[in-house]
This record gives sequence, structure tokens and C-alpha cells, in this order.
Amino acid sequence: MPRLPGVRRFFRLPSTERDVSAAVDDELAFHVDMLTEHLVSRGRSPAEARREALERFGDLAELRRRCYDISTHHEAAVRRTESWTNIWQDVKYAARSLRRAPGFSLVVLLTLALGIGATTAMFSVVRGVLLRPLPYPEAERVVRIVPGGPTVDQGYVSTTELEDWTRELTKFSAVGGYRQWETGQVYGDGAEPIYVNTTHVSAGFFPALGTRAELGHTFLPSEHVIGSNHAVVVSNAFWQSQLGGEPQAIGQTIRLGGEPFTVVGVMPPEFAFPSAGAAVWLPSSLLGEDDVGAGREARWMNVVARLRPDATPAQGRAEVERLLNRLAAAYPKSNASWTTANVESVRDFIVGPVRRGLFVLLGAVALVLLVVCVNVASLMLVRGTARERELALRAAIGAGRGRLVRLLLTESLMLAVVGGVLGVLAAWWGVHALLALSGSFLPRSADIRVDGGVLMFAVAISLLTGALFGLWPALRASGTTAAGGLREDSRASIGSGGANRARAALVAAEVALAVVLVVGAGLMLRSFERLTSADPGFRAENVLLARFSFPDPPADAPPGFRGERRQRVVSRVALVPGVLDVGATKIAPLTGGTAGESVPFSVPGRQTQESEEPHVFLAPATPGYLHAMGIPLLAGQDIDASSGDSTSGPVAVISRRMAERIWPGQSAIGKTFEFFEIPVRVIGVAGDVRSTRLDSISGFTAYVPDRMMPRNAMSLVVRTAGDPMRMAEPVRAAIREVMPRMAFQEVVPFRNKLSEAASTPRFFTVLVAIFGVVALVLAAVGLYGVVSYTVRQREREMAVRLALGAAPSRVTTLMLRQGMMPVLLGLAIGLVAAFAATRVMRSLLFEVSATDPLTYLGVALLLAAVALVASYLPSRRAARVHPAMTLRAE
Amino acid sequence: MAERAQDEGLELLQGTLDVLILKTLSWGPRHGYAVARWLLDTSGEVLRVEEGALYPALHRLEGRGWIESEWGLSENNRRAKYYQLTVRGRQQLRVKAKTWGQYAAAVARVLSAEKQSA
Repeated sequence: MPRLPGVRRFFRLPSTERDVSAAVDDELAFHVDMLTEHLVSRGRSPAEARREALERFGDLAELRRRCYDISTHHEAAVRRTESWTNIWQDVKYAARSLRRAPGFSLVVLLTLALGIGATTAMFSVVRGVLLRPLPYPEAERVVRIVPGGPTVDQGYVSTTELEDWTRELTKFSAVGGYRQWETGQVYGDGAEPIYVNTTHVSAGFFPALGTRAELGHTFLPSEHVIGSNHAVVVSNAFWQSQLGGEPQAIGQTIRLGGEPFTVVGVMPPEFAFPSAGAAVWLPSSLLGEDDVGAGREARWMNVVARLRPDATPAQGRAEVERLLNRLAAAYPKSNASWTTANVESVRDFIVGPVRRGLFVLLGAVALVLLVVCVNVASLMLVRGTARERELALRAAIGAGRGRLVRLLLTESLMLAVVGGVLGVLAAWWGVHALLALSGSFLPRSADIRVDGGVLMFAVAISLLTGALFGLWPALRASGTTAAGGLREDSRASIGSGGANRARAALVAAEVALAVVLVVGAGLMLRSFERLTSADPGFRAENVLLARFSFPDPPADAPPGFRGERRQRVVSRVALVPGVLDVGATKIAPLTGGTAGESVPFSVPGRQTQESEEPHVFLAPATPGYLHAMGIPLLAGQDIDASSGDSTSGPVAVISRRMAERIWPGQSAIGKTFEFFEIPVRVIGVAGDVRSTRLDSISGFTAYVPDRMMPRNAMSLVVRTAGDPMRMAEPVRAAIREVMPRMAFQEVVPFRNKLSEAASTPRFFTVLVAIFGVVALVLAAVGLYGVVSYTVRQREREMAVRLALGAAPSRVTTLMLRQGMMPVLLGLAIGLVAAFAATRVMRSLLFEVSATDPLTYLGVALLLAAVALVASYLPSRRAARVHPAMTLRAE
Repeated sequence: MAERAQDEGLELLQGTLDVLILKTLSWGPRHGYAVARWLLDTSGEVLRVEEGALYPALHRLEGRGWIESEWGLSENNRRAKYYQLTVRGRQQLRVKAKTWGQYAAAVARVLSAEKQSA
């Protein structure tokens, strides 16, 4: 039969998919050859036959192309299907084998969900608070400038000084002053007026932050001019809740503190400066001498500024300090001690206080995730060893090592993925729980949510954990040789030495990680216990707190008007049945302010020393305030109705700390100190109070008669016979009898304030404690699993020992010793690691050292005890082996 | 006569070719040339399948999963691509053959109808 070489060459056209194209060519060539042969057999000449055969095909190139297209399409589909089929097979197989071990699968899934969920939830918080960009354009250039000095750290500037700064500073493109008030402003004229969180801002404030209004505009220069400055910028939340969320709100007039203001701008929802609650911003020029004092000494504003693009914070700081030194030289009386400045990024200002704590939590939760991985890995290892025969069988019928690893890894990844899905659900719930637990202290909590980024994180750590806990056991288990694994006696063997060492290493690692977490939890718990049992200096039980603010007095009010109306309210509330004691001050302890108004003071005939606190917190107190608040009078007498009147002159009850530091070794009673050149006579000494934070005693405090400084703001404290909340309505009504339509900031039991003050440490403590408990439980479960497994594996050996006359207790001890060896190793490693790791927590601890020996000892004993129980329970089974039955079963 | 029939062979409708190929393969694997040959022989040289239509049809049926292919040796020891029915292809053949039978019967009834009954 003649060959027809031309045909083949004709079909060998260039192609991309070599195989498919060659196959099409071969197929068509074959047909042409066959047809040619057929025609030749019918009597045609070979050349004629070939021409006719080719003619039958018509446009051969076109046909070839069509076949090629159909086939490549098909090829690709086949290849896709094949690889999917393979993966699907693995997945089906993995699912089947996991279903056959429901206990194992359930434990692993719950453990993973716990670890991934906790980590994801914690990451959501860290991402929202620390990682998400701040909502200001080029936020890294926005800084806070905090002036201070060797003896002052208040950080405020006066109106005059802010003007100097704005004029003189060249490294900043904008310098703005602001002050957020604890008391806020009464909004509205309705039956129930409300308090809104108010911030007064200077002209440079909005330019420094750089955020534009969402509707309308931020203050124009003209809106800062006295006379035309009744303008207000409102927050998005305020606009939504109070102004109906309509664009027509711009230009509308609202009433604040009884005066009309025009709404000029609505800020975007993410704008929350200086704090999340900020509701309205007013021009600072509204506040005059009467409100904030006059001159350079009247420091009342914080400063926020925007660095020029070419300036560094260090350059900015140097320039501010040069200016401060010039001012100190020019105005020594007011500025001598204000010569240094801190320039901190606004990010540090907002999240600085919680950064350390959140990173510690993230670290702790990462350790929990590691414990989870180790725990699951040891469970997988135990299971892997138990499956040796199955894997050996697979190897024997031709599965390669890669194939076995893939099979086992699929199983791990499947567990990880399902665990991850459960974990995300847990995280979603966990974030809500975290937010509820954090109360209001966490900055930027509005930015915390489970979003795409968080989900990506969850997917990433799920896969990572899957690979982490799955790879090692998979490699180990697949290393089993077909011959070794299938040997008849393999079931009775006690496992290879390598496998035993691997399990012991995992147990040790798990115990070590648990020790670190439990030590951290122990330290936090001890610190929290110290903190909450520390004496705040007052008694909060059965005390009702009412906070409100009087309106500005009318212009023609007689002197003493402010003091008298305050006293009238206190006297009226004292008449309410069930009220035991009542008193008032400007701002009660732990309600968000300092101990009082900070003023510089001096003692006649005494040289002030560098190291001294040159400021005293002045707090107004009505007669009976100290008594109602439960602040003990240690010496001298309390403020009474006649204190501070024309005959007694200015008097004060001072704090113990002040008395002991200023007049050490002598009685302070009858001594005199001065502020603003007013001599004040000390009539009594009271106990120290923790006014701002539970972990520190306030600075020098002087309680002066309320009539000496009758402010608008009032904290009324009412000691009641029973449940304070039962008195809330009667007290409210009594106050309104004196001051109709008074708006209340809050009327709450005072113990709420104590609880709120502990919310930050409580948040960190509760979380670290939870992580510690989880680690402890996981370690116990892991140890129990490993020891049970070992006992089962050595049943035969134990049976032999028992048959040869070993006492059952000896057999138990043997197993126990084997279980406890890695525990002790892990314990030792963990204690050393904890010693190193807990140092990062030092700033979170109150009156407890990060190396507190009692905690370390306690944790060591606790873990040893838990481990002993976890390994004793399965070890006991070893002694109960029935020798005859076990041996016969083999 | 045979040559004439070949020249004027009936045009095959799309879909008809598919069912014919499936039927051809229902007796076992065949390569493309054998399919064409068998159709021609069985139909008494009436049904002449264009090579330009046969191969795209084979590849399309394979893409649909009704037939599958494998390389093998032909009667004369040449490498040839053999097609055979899949399970789904066999089902298709049953459905299509039935439809075709009904269709052919209907066409036949119409063509042989008496004038008055029209």
C-alpha cells in the first residue's frame, strides 16, 4: 500500500495546543488514507484517488480548525473536571473518614472554632481601633501639641497664647484650640431638654484636622467673630437623631443653653474628634472672660495642629519650645514654668491608652490559637498512629507518599475550613460580646466590625492552622512503610519511639503555652482584685448621684445668686423622705473630671521646691458633702453653713496627702496657703480620694465652701436608707421644684461610677482570664487524649506485667510517670517563657509585679494538679486490664 | 446507479447525523472512517455523510459526553481514533431514535395522504 507522505505534512500546521492539534491531524489523515485506499481498490490511480479523497473534505483547513476548536474546548473541560473529581474524591473520602470518628471530629471542630473565633474577634477589635486609618486626610500629619514644664503637665493653653502660636509657628499649616466639656450644653426647649456633648473650637481646629463637612461647611472665619458667632456644626448622629437627617437642617436655628444657633454644617459619620460622643461644635469665641477667665493664666484649650508636609514632629516640637521659651522670658509671671512641649500624633492621642493592652490581648489570643494547633496536632497524631494499618494498606496497593500526604492534608484542611466557618460565626458573636464588655472606654469602637478584611484574615488563619496542625502528623503518618505497618503484630506493638517522642513534645509544648497564658491570667486577676479592693476614699453604697448644670444667671442677678440657688437645691433635697445625707460639689469623684479646678498655690514663708506639686485641686463642697460622700474627716472640722462667710473668711478642708507633704510632722489645722493671692485657712484634714482613676490617689486637694466657688455644674450626692434608685424620682422632682425644667445629665447609683472606672482593667482581665482558662482546659484535654491512647496501645504489655505478678498500683504509676514527664518539662519551659513574656504586661498591672512569685507558684501547682488528674484518669485503666482476656484477644 | 445515488445523496438534517452516528456506534467502537463507510453501506449508498460534517459532529458529541474516544490500532495496523457510546449516549440514542421514528412516520403520513382528507 503506497504511503502518502504529503497528507501528513499538510496537516502539520502550527498550533498552540500541540497534543490536540496533532490528534485532529492524525485522525483526519487516517480518514484520507483509508478513503484513498478504498478508491485505489476501485481502480483509481493513487494520485487521482488522493485528489478525490481530499476533495471530499472540502475546505480542509476550515474543517481542521473547527474540529480543533471543539476539541480544545472539550480537553480543557475534561482536565478541569478531572482535577475537580480528584479533589472531590479526596474531600468525600475525608468527610467519610471524619464521620466515622464523630467524637474526634467534634472535639477538633469545637477546639478550632474556639481558637479561630477568638483570634478573629480580637483581630476585628485591633483592626478597628489600631489599624484602620483615621478619618482625616493625611492623618499622619495631624498632631496634638501638649505644652508643659518640669512642674506642670496640664497641657492647656490660653486664648491669648493660642493666638501667639497661630501667628508665630511656621512648621504647622494650621493650629487649632478646642475644649470638650464634661457638662455639655442643654439642647432644645421641649418638655425634656437633653444634654449634648459640646466642644468649643477655635478657627484653626477644622483646618488642622482637615475633614470637610458632609453638608454645609465648617466654620468660616466670619463665624468666629464675636457678634456673628452663633453658629453650630453638628455631628452626623446628632443630625440624624435630632434634626431628622434632612438636608434642610442647614440654616435651621436650634437652641443650645437657651440661645439660638444656626446650623452651618453636618460632619461625616466617621468624624469623632475629640471623642466618639462629640455632638456639637461651637466657636470658641463664644466663651469670654466670665466663662474661662482672662489673660495668659487662663489655660483652658487643648491644641491640635497640622504639620507642614516638609516638617517632622521633632522640628515642630523644637519650634514650639523655642516659642515657649520666648514667651516665658516675656511673661515670667504666667509662663515661667511652661517651657516644654510634647508633639504627639493624633493617633497616639486617640488609641495610645489602649494600644499596649490590645496588643497584649492579641498576643494572648495568638498563644491560644497556638495551643489549639498543638492540641489538634496531637489529636491528629494519635489518630494517625491508630490509622497506620489503613495507610499502610493504601501504600501497599500503590498510593504514593505524596498522595497519602494530600489525603491527610485534605482531612486537616477540611477540619480547618469547617472550623473556620464556625469560628467566623463565633467571632461575629464574640465581637458583639467584646463591645458589650468594653463599655464606653474603647476608642473608635464604631470602627469595629466583622468585614471583608476580617473575613480574609479568618480564611488565612484557618488555612494556616490547617497546614500547621495537619502537615507534621501527615508527614509522620505517611512515612509508614507498607511492610512495617502491615506486620501481623503491629497492633500489639507499642508504637515507634519517634511517634512517642512526637506526642511527648506536643504535650510539653501545649503545657508550656498554657503556663504562659495562665500566668498572665493570674497576674491580671491579682491586679484586678487589688484594684477593686483598693479604698477609693469614699463610700459608694446606697448613694445616688445626680448630675446637672444650672443655666447662666440673668445679667442683673444680685451677688451671691449662684451660691444661693445651689444651696436651695441641696436644702430642698434634704427634705425628701428617705434621704439620710445630701451634699454637692462641682464634679464628684470618678465622674469624668479631675479632683477639682487646678490652681497654682503657695505657702507664706515657705520656699517651693522643684519636686513639689505646685498646684492644688480646688473642689467646692456644700456643708455635709464630705459626710454624704463618705470621705472621712481625719482632723479638725468639716465645712459648715457659716464656713466661707464674711466672718470666717476663706477656709478649706485639705486632703491628707497635702497636709502631710506641706506640713510634715505638724498639724495642718490653722495653717494658711494662698492661691491667686487669696489666703486660705485650713480648718480640717480629710482622707485621700481616687478622683480620676482607681489606680492613683488624686493630687493635693482642697475642699472649699461651695459659696466660694459657686459653679453652674453640680454633682449632687444623696445617701439613702435603701436602694438609691428608688429615690431617683423623688430627688428629681425635688430639684425641679427649685429649678423647673432642669435637664439631668444623669441620675444613677454611685456604685455604677465605681464599676465604670474599673471597666478598662475589667475588660483586659476578663479576656486574659478567659484565654488562660481555655488554654488550661485544652492542655488537659490534649494530655488526657494522649495518655488514654498510650494506655490503649500498651494494654498487652500491662497485661503481661500483671500476669507476671506486678501490683496494679505499680502499673498505674508507670503510666502516670510516662504521662507526667512531658508535663514537667513543659511546666519548666512555660515558667521561663512566662517570666520573659509577662514583662510586656507590666504597665497593665496594679500593685502586682510581673514576676510575682506567688502567682508563678500558684500556676505551677494548678497546672501540675490539672495534669495529674488528666493523666491519672486514663492511667487507672491500665491497672484494670484483664490479663487473660487481653492476651487471648491477641 | 450506485454512483448516481451517491452524487445526489440526500442532504442530512442537523441532528439526524447525530442520531445516525450514535446508532452506528451502538454495536461497538469504530473510527470515523468506519462510521462513514458503515452508514453508506447500510443505507444502500443513499446516506452519504460529508466528511466535513462527520468530524465536527463526532467531536461535538464527545464534548457533550455522549461518546468517548480512545486511540487504537485499525484493521490494517494503523493508529486510529476509536469512538464508543457512553451510558448517556445510549440513553440519548433511545430518546432520539424514538423521536425520529415518530417524525418519519408523521412525514410519511403527510406525503401519502389522499387529496380529500387534506
